[in-house]
Amino acid sequence: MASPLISVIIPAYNCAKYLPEAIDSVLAQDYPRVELIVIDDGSSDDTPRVLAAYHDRLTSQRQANGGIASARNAGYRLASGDFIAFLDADDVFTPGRLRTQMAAFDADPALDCVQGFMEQFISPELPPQFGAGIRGKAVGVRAAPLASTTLIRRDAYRRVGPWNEALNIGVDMDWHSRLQESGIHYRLLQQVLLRRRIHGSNTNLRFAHEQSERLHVLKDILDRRRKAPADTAVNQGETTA
Amino acid sequence: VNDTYRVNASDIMHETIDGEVVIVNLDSGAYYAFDGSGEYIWNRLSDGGASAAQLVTELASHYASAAADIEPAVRHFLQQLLDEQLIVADDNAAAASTTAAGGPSGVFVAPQLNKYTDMEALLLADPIHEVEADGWPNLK
Repeated sequence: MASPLISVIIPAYNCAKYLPEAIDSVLAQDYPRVELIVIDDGSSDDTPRVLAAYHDRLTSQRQANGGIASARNAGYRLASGDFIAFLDADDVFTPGRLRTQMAAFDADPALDCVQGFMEQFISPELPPQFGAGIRGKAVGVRAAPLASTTLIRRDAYRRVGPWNEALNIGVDMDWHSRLQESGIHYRLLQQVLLRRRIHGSNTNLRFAHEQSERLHVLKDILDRRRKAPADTAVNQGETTA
Repeated sequence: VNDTYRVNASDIMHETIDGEVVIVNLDSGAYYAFDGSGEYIWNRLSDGGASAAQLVTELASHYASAAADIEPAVRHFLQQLLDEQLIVADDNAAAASTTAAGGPSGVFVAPQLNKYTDMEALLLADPIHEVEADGWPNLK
């Protein structure tokens, strides 16, 4: 029986410098059936030229700038995979990562979604002291239930619903809270599936003054869960090796 | 020690949204909300600071209750806020007296701190810049 098809969706906005590494990390995966979709979210840099160079190895679509949630949703509309994965344009899949995640699905057919850990690194062109002004541990390995470690069955993805296009830095937290409430069976693998680049224009650094959006997402989560029937479980998922 | 406290502005984010205070501890990834008179006390602590004795006096006066009935709940609440590193002791915090006119009406309800850890990994996952001591733009 043929392996199920995985669609990997990369939203790209003015990230031409790092995008080739992201694309290469997907194309180098040793899982046999991968469809790569890149949404150029109205970039004004060299992104179109980067994508042109890969035209025979991926599907790309350009749209007017709509934000990361809008670009991920556009990517999903083009996706034909049985499983859906996401990668931010400045980050990198670790080798063998999709095969590792699919093995988790094979081992437990009831699973709907598998996420994992990430390793953060300071982008090599930057001085190491770039991390000095960042709160906590700028580099290193940590749990990362983020879009970029997610591999999810298509039907489960539809139950969680689209990325909230009204949000910016709170997008992943909002989506994850709905994953917790959706009743789907998900797991966090204690394995590094993603290398996340810390650089000068990370969305979350760039929008530091907009941290308040996270508080608004949390307020929405509190309101939603207080309104929910008492027997609605918030599924924290499980963490396994 | 004059028992005066202020919010730990450099290590938290907090904002009043639709009339409810939501707080994030940036080091632990926990978030918080209040029940009862917690919000009143928090607003006093974030507005320059207040002492435990002041808070008890204000609440007792507002609710026409005996300070002795209110004090244990207030002190327990302040200790919880300290334990969660949401406030710090600061003898230099402005401890302006106020009447609890803007406080909650009705009978005194003990302040309660509700803690949530279900978004911990996501709140800790994103790199954010350190901020100066005056804290994040904590919007009211």
